[in-house]
Amino acid sequence: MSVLKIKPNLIDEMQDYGSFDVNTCFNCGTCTATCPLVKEDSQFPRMLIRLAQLGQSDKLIASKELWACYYCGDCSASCPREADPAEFMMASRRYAIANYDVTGISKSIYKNKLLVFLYMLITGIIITAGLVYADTSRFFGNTDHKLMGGYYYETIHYGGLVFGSLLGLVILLGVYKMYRNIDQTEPLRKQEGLDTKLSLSVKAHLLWTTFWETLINEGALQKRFKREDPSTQPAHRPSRWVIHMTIVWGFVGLAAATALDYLVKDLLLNDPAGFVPIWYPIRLLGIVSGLLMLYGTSYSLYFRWKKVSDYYNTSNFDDWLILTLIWFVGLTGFLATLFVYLPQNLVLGWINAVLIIHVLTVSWLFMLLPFTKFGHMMYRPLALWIYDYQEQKIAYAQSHPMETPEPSPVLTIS
Amino acid sequence: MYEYDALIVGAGISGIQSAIDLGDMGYKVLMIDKQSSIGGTMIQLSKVFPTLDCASCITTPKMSTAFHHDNIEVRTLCEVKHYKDLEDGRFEVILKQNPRFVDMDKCTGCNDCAEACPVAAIDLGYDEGMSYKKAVGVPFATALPQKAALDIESCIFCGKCANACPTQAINFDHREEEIPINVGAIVIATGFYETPTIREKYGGGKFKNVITGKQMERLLAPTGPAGGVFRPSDGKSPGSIAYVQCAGSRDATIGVPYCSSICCMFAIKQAMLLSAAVPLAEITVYYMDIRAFGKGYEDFYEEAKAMGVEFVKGKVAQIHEDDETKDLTVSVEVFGEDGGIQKVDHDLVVLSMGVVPQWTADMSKIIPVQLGPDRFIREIRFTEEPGLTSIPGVFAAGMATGPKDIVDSINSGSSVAGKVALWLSGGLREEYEVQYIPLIPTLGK
Ligand code: SF4
Ligand code: SF4
Repeated sequence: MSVLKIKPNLIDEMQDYGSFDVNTCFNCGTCTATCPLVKEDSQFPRMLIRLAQLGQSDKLIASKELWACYYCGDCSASCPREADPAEFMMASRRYAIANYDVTGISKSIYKNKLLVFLYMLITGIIITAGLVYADTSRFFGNTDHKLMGGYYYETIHYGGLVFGSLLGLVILLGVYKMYRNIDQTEPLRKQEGLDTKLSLSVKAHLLWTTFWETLINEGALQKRFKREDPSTQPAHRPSRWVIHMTIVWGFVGLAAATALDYLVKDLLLNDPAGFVPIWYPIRLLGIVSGLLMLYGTSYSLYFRWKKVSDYYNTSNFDDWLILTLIWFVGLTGFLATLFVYLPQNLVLGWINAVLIIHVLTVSWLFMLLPFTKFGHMMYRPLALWIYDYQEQKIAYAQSHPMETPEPSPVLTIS
Repeated sequence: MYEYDALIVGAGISGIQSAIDLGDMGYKVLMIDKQSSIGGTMIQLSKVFPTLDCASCITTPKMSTAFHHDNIEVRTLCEVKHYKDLEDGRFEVILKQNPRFVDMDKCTGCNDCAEACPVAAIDLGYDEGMSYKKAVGVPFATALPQKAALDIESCIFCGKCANACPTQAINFDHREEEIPINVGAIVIATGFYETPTIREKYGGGKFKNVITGKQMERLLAPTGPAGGVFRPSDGKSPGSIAYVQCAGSRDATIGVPYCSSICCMFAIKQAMLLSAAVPLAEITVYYMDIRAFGKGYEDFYEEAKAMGVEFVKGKVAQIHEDDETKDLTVSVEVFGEDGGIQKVDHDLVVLSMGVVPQWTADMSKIIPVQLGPDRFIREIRFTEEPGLTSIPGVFAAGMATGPKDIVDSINSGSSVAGKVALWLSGGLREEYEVQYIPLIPTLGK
């Protein structure tokens, strides 16, 4: 049993992560009873606000409820104290992400928002310099693979690998920290001896099934998101769910296209910079995904700018930053693809700029992933998965009482 | 120009108390009210907490004492139109006398006019929308003056009342009049309204079986419209009744961030009365905290619990209405051991609405008393000299300065009468020269 730390100034500390005022909350529970996503076994936001008021930081960031909220803003609209519980939930997620980050970068950029630009400036200079000056042929011998605009394919490829591994490490550490945190504070675990009661194969099975359930329901279909009260969405504009889904699927599609492209062109054909016709399926996948992503982010940015509803009312700097980056990634990616098929003399002056912006924004996006709100795309499904798994274990244990040896048949003599 | 020692604006329980005390001291008092009868809110009520005395048994004698007092003149349907501080300790006021369309001298209060009147308009006044009323007639059984009044808004000008009246008292030629007076002091005792805004999540006033505390007060009163408690949608007797506490108070979203101070106690009182009026009904009070602060209040609360009224800790977040049956379901996060989100069915829901002042910022343009951040009239030194407003010589009593229960309102009326007497005898001048410290700097956040 570990000891829980109490942070008396937790709420003040959390002010860096969003603008809410839960000091005024008088714990009436209106928010909880209003929230369309609350179920009998999970109560938020009030319970989490209470944790924050009590300074129970560890419990707060380990709670599943954090990730069960999709910020519809219903609770804030009904809070009699105008404490803005929805924004509190959002801030708690940022706070959790910052606390899972082992490097401390996240905390510092939320504390001082200007640091994020410093971070982007430094990495930007490195990347641009690498792109423009690095002649990777010196290391790798092969200079044939020049991309449009004269950049070396290898620079992007190997540079990406190096950055990627570093980020991967940070992410893995964060995920581990999250798992440990949940493991230590999760009340479900207190079910006596549950883990020893279940056999390894049962656990593996549950882990596997809950993984798929989470992936499909939370990742692919975003069912919980959709369950949020539809009445709050006027019919004439795309719902938040549609917007979020297009961004998610656009993102997944682009990632898939990139990976497949690498597999096919680099590993199979050994011609990574080669020309492909527009109907080439992977290319098509990339184009469609990019357009989806542009659609979603454009609407999201526009709605946030116009503050069309409670949900879009409060935007933190990372909302703007991440959305803008995604938007630029989508736009420049789309343009770059277009340029391949346009007469080269027409687009010549533009190629370099577009490509550099594209590479820069993609890199920034990934480099910000473990440190900002963007990290929810890992932490949310993960937390929901871990919790689902724990719940399934309990359910399993309850429906399969301890296997006691069959009583040996007793001969009755009549 | 008529001259009086004091003008009392508002003839509710605290205004009446001020008037009686001043009259008894020998001062000449004019008491006005914009309604057609004096009595204010209290005359509408059923019983009072924590003694369960009948409310009208307290109010009616006080009303008639004031009304028949030699030193007190009463004007109904009358408002303040213009005010001027003469800077010599006196004020010039122009009153607006609204037309009654009934000659007070001729009317005998026989109510034949009401018998003859074909109109049935929803009674938004005395009966809080729980019954219908005629366009003309004596306002209610214990009204003072016992004279008919004609409501020109709902009148259809058929003339049947005029024909029915045995003394030809109905007079459609009445017009608004201006009455200039000169007074030595003014007491504002304009009382309160129930919080007018009902949360959207509580139906926003559209659910038939969601009623307010004051409406329940009418149903429970012996003078009530139906002689019993019923569901407005179908007239049935409710089997389960819920009280939603803080429905119109401590809620910044509807502009009432303060505690209205009376709702806990009137809900407990009504719950007790309901146990007797509808013996089979289950009564549940959803509350955040019970504020039973006065003398004997906590015992009263304990008594209600002992009588079987169920008190559930949790603020109701939403009320759903069934389209067909008009039954209601409340959603609430209940606190305690087996707490959690609960959805509970009820036949009738009573919203314990809070109070907002009747004296508005617009009225402060006529008599420029300062308002506090809660929009009640600011008492410049309310902990030491209650009742003093920002204008020397103008006093405020009862709910006009903030939420008060009946005991406190009567107290306040009496204490302000004392202040007025002091003022009229030349005292109380230095009190206004002290550097006033704002006592309620902010509200809500
Ligand atoms: S509705 Fe507001 S005051 Fe009530 S518990 Fe939620 S955050 Fe606190
Ligand atoms: S923002 Fe919406 S989903 Fe999140 S806690 Fe509030 S009501 Fe629930």
